[in-house]
Amino acid sequence: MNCTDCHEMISDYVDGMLDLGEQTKIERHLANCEPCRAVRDDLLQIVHFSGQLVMHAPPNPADLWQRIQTQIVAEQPRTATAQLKNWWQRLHSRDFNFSIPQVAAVAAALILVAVISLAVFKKSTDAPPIAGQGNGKEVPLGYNETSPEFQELEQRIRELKATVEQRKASWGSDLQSSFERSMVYVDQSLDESRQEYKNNPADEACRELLRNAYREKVRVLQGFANF
Amino acid sequence: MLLAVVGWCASSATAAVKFDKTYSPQGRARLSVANINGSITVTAWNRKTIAVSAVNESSAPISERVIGDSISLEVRKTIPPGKADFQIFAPADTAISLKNYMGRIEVRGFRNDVSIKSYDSDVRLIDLRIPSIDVNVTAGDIFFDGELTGDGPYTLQTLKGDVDVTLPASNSFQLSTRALSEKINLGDFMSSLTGTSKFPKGISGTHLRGGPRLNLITFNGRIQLHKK
Amino acid sequence: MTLATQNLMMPAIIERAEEPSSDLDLVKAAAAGDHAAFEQLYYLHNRRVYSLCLRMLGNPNQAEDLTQEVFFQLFRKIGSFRGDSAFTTWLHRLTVNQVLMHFRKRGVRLEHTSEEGDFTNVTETPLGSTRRVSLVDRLALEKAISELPPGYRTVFLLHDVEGYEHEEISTLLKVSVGTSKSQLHKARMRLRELLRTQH
Repeated sequence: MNCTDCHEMISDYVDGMLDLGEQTKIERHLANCEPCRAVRDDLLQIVHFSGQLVMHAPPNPADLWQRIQTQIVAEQPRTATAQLKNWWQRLHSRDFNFSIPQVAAVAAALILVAVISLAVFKKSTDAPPIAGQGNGKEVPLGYNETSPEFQELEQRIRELKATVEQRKASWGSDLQSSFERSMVYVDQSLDESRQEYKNNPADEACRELLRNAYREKVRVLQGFANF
Repeated sequence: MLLAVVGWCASSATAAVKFDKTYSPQGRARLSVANINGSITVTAWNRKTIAVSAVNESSAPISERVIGDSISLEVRKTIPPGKADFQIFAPADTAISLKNYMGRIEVRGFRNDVSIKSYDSDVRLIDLRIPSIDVNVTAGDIFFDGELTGDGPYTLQTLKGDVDVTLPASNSFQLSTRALSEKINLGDFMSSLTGTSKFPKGISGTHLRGGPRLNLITFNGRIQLHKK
Repeated sequence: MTLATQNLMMPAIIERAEEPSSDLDLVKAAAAGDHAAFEQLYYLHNRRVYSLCLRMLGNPNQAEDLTQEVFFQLFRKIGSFRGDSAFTTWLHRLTVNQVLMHFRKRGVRLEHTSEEGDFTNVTETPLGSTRRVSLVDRLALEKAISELPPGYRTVFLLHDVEGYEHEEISTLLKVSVGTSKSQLHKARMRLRELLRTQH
C-alpha cells in the first residue's frame, strides 16, 4: 500500500468501517509511515473533538419565543386573529401548572374557535378586518383608522395614484418593473403595519411604523408621478 | 431646415457617452446628483476639486447647474430612462445629496451631511464621520460604518432590506429602532443602553450621554448594530 | 480493532442536554393545545436546534430565522409525533430538513465536486515530536468548520458532530452512501488543512 491508497481509506479506518483485511493493510503501512500516522492522529483528534462541541444558545431566546408565538398567531385566519390571540395570550399568562380538566377545556375551546373562525373566514374572505371585534370588551384603545393624519395621507395617495396610472404606459419595462416592485413592498409594509397597529394600538413602535409606511407610499408615488 | 438638422443631431446621440467634468469650489461644496437607472459612487479624496465621471448609455442626457459652491447634476428623464453610472471624487467636507430610482449607491470617507433617497438601491456608507444623515430607500440594504460627530439626526430607513450599522463604543446617541419583522439585534450596544423601552417591534434607549437621534427603521428586514 | 478506533467508538459527549423522560408528556400536552407545554419544549430544545442551524449555515441571523421556522413547523406537526423514536431525534430530523430546504431555496449546491486541495501533500516531511501538540481546540475547530464549503460542512456536521450514520445521511441528502463517505473524508482533510494553517 502506498500513501495515496492509505489516504483514501484513512477516514473509513478511523471510523472502524474497514474489514479485517483492509485494516491490516493500513496498519502495516502506518507502522512504517510517519506522515500517514500524523494524518491518522489528526483525524482522530478532529472526530473526537467534534463529538464534544458545545451547544450554542440563540442570543435572545425570549425574543425568539415571542417571534414564534407571533408567527403562530399570524397563521390563523385574519378575521379571527383578535379572538385567537386573546386565547393564546390568556393561556400564556397562566401558571405552568395546568390541571387536566383545564387543559381539556382550553383544548376544546381552541378547537371550537378554530372551527368557527375557519367557517367565518371561508364566508368572508373579502371582508376587510374589522376593528375591535374581540369579545366586546377588547375594543382597541387609541386605534383610529380615520385619524386626520391618515385620512390626509390616503387622499394624497389617491391623487398621486391617478397621475401615475396616466403616465405609466409610456415608461418602458425597466421603470415599470421598478415601480411595480416598489409598490408591492410598500403595500405589503402598509398592510402589515396597519394590521399590527390594530392589534397593538398602545404600541408606539407600531404606530410609527404605520406612519412611515404611509409616508413611504406617498414618496414612491410622488417619485414616479414626476416621471 | 434648421429644425430638421437639430432633430437629426439629437437622434444620433445614442452611443455610450462619457461625461467628464471637474469643478473647483472655493469653500465647502454641496454636491447633488439625481440619477435614474445606474450606480452612484462618491468617494472622498484630499484634493480640493470635485471630479465627476459618468458613463451613460443610450442617450441619458446629464444636465448640470453650478451656483457658487453648489453643484447639481441631473440625469434628465427620458422615456425609456437612460442608464448612467457615476464615479465621483470630492473633498471630504462636501455635503452630499443623492437621488436615484434604481442602482447601487456607495459613499465613502466624508465628513459632512449626507442625504440619500432612492427606491431600489443597496446603500453602502463607509468611513463616514458626519454630523447628520438621512437615507430612505424602498428596497435595498443599508450598510453604515462610521461615526456620529454632530447633532444629527441620523436616519436610515428601508422597507425591504437590512439596516446594518457599526459605530464606535464611545458614540453617544438617542436610539430608536423600528422593525416590523421584529428582528432587532443591538449586539454589544444592548448592555450599555439605558432608559430602554422595548416593544416587539422596536427598542429605544439612550447610549452614554444620549443627544443626537439615531433612527433605524426597516419593515421586512433586520436591524443590526455593531460596536467597533 | 486498534486502541485508537476503540477510543473513537464512544466519544465523550459532555455537553448535550439530558433527554427528560417527560418529553413525551410535554409533547402530548402540547399536541392537545397546552401552550405552556409547547413553551417548555421550546426552552428545553432551542439550543440544540439553534446550534445545528448555526453550524450548518454559519450565520447567526439565518440560524435564528431557521430556528423560528423549525419551532413553527413543530407546532404544526406536533400532533403527528407517534413516540416511536426519541422526540429529540424527531426534532433533529425536522431541523435538518428545514436547513436543507433553506439551502435548496438559495440554490446552494451541496455536492462539491472540486478536487482542489482535497489531499495534503503526501510527501510532507515528518515534523517530529515538536508537532505532537494538540492540533485541535474547540474554538479553532468551530472556526474551521465554518470555513468548510456547504456540502462538506453538512456531511461533516451530520456525521461527526450529530452522529448520523452514512445510510441516514444518504437518505436525508439524497446522495449515495459512497458520496456521503467521500464528502466526509474530504471535509475532514480540509479541516485538517485549515487547522494546521491556524497553528
